[in-house]
Amino acid sequence: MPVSADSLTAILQGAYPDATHINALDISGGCGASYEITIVSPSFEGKTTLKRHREVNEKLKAEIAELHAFTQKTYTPAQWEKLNTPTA
Amino acid sequence: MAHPTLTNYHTITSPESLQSLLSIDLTRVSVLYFRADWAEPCTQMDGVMVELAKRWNGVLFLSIEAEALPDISESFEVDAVPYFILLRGHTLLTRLSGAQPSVLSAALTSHASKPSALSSSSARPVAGAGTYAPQEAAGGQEDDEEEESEEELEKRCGELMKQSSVVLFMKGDRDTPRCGFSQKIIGILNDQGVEYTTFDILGDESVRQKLKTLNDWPTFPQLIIHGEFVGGLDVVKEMVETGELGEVLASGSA
Repeated sequence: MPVSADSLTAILQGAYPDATHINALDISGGCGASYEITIVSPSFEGKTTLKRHREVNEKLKAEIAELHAFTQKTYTPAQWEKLNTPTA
Repeated sequence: MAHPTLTNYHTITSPESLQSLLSIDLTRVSVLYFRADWAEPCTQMDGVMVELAKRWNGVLFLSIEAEALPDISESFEVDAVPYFILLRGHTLLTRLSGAQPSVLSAALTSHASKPSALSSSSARPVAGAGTYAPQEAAGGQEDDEEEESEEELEKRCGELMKQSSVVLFMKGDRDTPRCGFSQKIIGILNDQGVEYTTFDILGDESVRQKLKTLNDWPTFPQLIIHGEFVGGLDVVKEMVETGELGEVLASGSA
């Protein structure tokens, strides 16, 4: 069964109930097998990027196994705000 | 350079002297060591070369000033020091970039200890006096090339991860990455002005498999900073974005 962006988002919302932003972007060009997900959650605070990625990989284990390609971005709300603020 | 008492360790002074030394015995294994005084890791490798030359006295060790002899360096596509080329006669066996004594030693074990199938006993390397002499089994030869134990492999991987403060385990090397992900991470590290050494996992299957379990990460590239696994391409990309990479680099340098 192909993995949909909606199902990925739903799983992540369940896993990160306090997330302020979750996005699953289909980067497969239509076949539905490559996603880039972005999660912004205060629960990432104090965790290294490696730890965050391992955590997300674990939560999406079954889904990732179905995909060709999967990339992720994990930010704390503070980092997210900084990234989305144009630097002077 | 080289060594006054070691007959199998020479300093090359010209392309001609290299040619003639290599031509003396075309079945002999040679280690070409490209070095430069300004490159600090070469100091360490100078000593390693002497030790290896003592142990492998059937192998020819040749020290080459990479910049003083550009013709030789260029013909072997040497673009960094220290750099090692293993030859049998004039035939390239393997190449190795960087100060990695254990890798160099492993390369010698795999290439120099195996007698060629054609000429049996004559091609057997003469091992150092008592230190590494393969036991000649009665009634014929035994392939006594020692298997690396799990423990030894783990130790070797640990050493490789600590060979410099930033080590990238990748497919290929920094000039010829053999995979798009490795290429991208090289680009990022270069952009960030990070100094790092690389290890080509395509050349060492046991290291490749071991690192996957050791670091609990299934893919390459793998970036190691101060001996600790920090992540693959995605993680490193993000670490650059958030500034975490700079923090980690700065953290252990004290």
